[in-house]
Amino acid sequence: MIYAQVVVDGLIVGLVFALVAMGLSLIYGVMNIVNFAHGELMMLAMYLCYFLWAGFGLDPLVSAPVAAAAMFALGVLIYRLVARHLLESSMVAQMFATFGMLVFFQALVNFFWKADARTIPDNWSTGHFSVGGLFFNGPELVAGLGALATAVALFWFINRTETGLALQAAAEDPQVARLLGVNTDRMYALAWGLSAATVGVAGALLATYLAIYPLVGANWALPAFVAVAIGGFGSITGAFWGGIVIGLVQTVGGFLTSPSYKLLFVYALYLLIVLVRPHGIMGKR
Amino acid sequence: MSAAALPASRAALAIPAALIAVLAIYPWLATLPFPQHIVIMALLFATMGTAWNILGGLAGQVSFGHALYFGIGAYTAAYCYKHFALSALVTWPVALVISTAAAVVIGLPTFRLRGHYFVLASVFIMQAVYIVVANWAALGAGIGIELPVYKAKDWIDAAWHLQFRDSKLPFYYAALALFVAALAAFEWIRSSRLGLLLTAVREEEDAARSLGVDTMRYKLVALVISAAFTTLCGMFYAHYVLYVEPVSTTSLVVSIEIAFVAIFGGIGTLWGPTLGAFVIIPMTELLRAYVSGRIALGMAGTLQDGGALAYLKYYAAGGGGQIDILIYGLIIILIARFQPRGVLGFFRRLD
Amino acid sequence: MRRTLKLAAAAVAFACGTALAQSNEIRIGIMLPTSGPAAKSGQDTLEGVKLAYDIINGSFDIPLPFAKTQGIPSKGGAKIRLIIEDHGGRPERGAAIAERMITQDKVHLLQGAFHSAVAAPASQVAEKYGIPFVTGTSESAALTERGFKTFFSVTPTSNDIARDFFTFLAEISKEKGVPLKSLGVIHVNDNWGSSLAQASEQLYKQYGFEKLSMISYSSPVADLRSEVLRLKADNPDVLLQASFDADAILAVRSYQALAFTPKAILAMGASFATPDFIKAMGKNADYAFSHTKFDSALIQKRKAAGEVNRMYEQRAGRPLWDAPARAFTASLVIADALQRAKSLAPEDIIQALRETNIDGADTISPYKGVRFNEKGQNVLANGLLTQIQGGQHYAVWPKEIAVREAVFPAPAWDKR
Repeated sequence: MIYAQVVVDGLIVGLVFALVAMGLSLIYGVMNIVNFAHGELMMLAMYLCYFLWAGFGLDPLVSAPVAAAAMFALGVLIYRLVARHLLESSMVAQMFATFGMLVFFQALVNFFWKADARTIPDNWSTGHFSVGGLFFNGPELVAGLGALATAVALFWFINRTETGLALQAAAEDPQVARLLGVNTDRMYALAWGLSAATVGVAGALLATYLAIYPLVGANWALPAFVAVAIGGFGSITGAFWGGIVIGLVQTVGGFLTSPSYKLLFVYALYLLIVLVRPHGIMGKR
Repeated sequence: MSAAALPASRAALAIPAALIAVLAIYPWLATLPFPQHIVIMALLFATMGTAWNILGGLAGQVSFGHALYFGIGAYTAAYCYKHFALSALVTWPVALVISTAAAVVIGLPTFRLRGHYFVLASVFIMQAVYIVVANWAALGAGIGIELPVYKAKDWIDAAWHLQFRDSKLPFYYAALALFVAALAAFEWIRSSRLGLLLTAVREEEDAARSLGVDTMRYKLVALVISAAFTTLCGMFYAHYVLYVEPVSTTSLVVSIEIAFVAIFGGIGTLWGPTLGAFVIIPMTELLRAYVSGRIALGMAGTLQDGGALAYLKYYAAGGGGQIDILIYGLIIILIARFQPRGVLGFFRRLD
Repeated sequence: MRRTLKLAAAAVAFACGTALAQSNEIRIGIMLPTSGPAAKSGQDTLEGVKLAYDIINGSFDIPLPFAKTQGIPSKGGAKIRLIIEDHGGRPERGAAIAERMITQDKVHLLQGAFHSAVAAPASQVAEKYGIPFVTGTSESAALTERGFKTFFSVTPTSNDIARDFFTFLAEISKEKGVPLKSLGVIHVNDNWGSSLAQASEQLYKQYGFEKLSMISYSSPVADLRSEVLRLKADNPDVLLQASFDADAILAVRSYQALAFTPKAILAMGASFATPDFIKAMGKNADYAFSHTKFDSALIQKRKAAGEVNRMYEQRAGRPLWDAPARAFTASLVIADALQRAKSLAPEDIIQALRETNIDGADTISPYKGVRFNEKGQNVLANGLLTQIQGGQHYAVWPKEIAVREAVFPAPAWDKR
């Protein structure tokens, strides 16, 4: 029975990884940039939710749209200030710019609010129940389902709306897209905004049960990078399934051997996959 | 024959010679341990940055997992010294063998990857090793290995144990020697046939392969040399700090620091990593020692009732920690955004 | 050229800096984590240290030695000046900070470091230079096992804590008629956490346990599900825990989420004893035991505890608790040694420390007293166990100091 629990837990956490991974993949698909600061955007959203809760008593689930909007704005800002100028840069420069943001945001939060962990103890999703011997914890389940809903929304937006299709065009071939009247600059900004917004929602969902501290983004989101790489950079669907797989592999692997080794399985999976398919399972180029 | 193969002019040799001379007499000018320590650490990172640059700058393979080799050196030195009382003077071949083996085992599969996939592979492999090391009881797991302090009887005994209680000078000159060796190795490779081949690998790997060049072999050579220097630095570190544990040796933080000094200064240039190391390391050390702590002392905060502003202020009181990292991050962003060729790019000189 | 000028300027600056450090004052180097995972605890501990030395330097009407006098009387009333640096929990910084404080700031003593992993290399440097290092907060038994001449630990070690845990468990198991056969230990994978693991491994069979499950993790950690699932599968009767602040919160939440209910959770050290833990966990904090060295119960037992607690609360915005209280007592020990030392030369201070013999009543800690053995460990140190009931800590053990009875076994999570 405990194995079923392990699998369920892996799926739930995998859904949140999936959401985070999708945002990451979105930027890469459009601009060929890996945003190393993706986890930090999640962390900032978590802090925002915390202060909204501490100051105004807002439940993180209520703050989620606020976090999404705020992070969307931040994403666009980052694009305009930094990312736009990286389009022609080398891969190394791009990596370093986003990595610099990672360091900067972590230190910024540390500078103002120290490194101690904060939590939001009681919120709307608190509580737990069991179904047939399986334990579901309210916050985590809500996070998983919320992530799924957001992922579906994102997917729908990209594939079923005109703007989404324009985004895909800009990703596919910027020059042709421009000829067809797509403003690629705005599409790139949109990609960053969307990416930040979705990871902001993930942050709000996780704020209901994770401890909030400067390193939470880096720690928690690292498997999401593996998920994107496994699914293949540039493929949102790949990122989604990659997230689920990573969640499962991590939880099951850690349970079977020892929890300290759970990330080993994730890394091993990455190496196995890229050695066989160097562009991930569904990656572009 | 390309320009790179011509012998260096005398003027071009004078500047490096002068700099090395200054470094050589520095410890006689700054006799306190802390300033010496700063330059020792700068030299260490300059060495590792230059070594990284052989793979990253010359061969174009950006690795964010070099701390792995640093850790191999540090742990080999620590383990052998603690359990067999054999210092790095004796055990360096062992460390180099392990390092070379690791480089080959890692390089063979991962050099088939390109772009981000390679970089991520280097990170993930290093992280995997970190997890193993942090859980391996024989290596002290999370605690690490403490090298026993030893009171040498005379200077020969001290040299054998690499334990110099009273003076940092032996460490200083050892670091300087490693540094000069790394520079020499870099320059030698760059102006040799190997350098040309690595340039081909870096710029047009597919074309080179189609011409029959065994790119894998040359990438491996670059990696092995790069790893060797990094491992020696790790051994140095173990004997210098006398305490080896996973986070300060085999972690992502260290990997990034190594890569960053090279990228900041100028990837692919001879002096880039040195410039990077001598700017970044003293800056972070001094900031942390004299500024960060002062701000973090701050004032005590008392929590008032309610209001987001009150919470913000309460939590802000006593903040100010990590200002060195804040500035470090800002510099990284600015350099990457404005001058991705590194600081040396400002002078448009690619020596 | 640029580089040379920069280095020369730095050299001159350092030379000037050292010239200023020659006045009639006593310099103590304080190293604590005010950034990193234990930052809040480090900050609080620092407030405890600052309070202690302010009391020593100034004149206060508190029933403590050195409170009424200003500075150290036998040294002409010399005041103590603190040189403080943040080590952020990184061990390699410990050595560098210690060396700088000794060679540049010319401190007479070092005090710190909260993290045992930082105290280890820092005290190694101190030993090299012959400067005394006093810790009130670093508990790993390994520290004093090194037998350094300059290292002094005022606090009980992880071995003492483990023994206290087992003694308590044996007592309460008999008292409540609940047999205990299997033990779980979850600990952070560093010097301090591993020391609890080692002590448990040595002692568990002696106290009647048959099975031991050991889970370690690296801090900071984002997610402890796998670890908790493992514990749940092993199903130990009781759980010993050594975690830092954020991990502790995450852990207990995971226990609740996965309905893992050991009969008791016993935590070593700060994290469960911080006010933040209760604030964060709400009613889920209840029934956890903490091994602590300060509790409001001491206000009855130690005459100065109430006043010090009040002063601390004014400065730090929360009541005095374990870590700052221990640091406070360590500072008193240092002042006492400085008073008795023949001179401010390191050897004399070390000699005075060796001869320390303080009565527990003159401190604010539950220790019987302070007396160091040949390895520098305070043999009269002891702690007490508190249990969180209704959102407050109450001393429950040993009996002489208990204000409430322990609730054991702990009720399941959803029945609270």
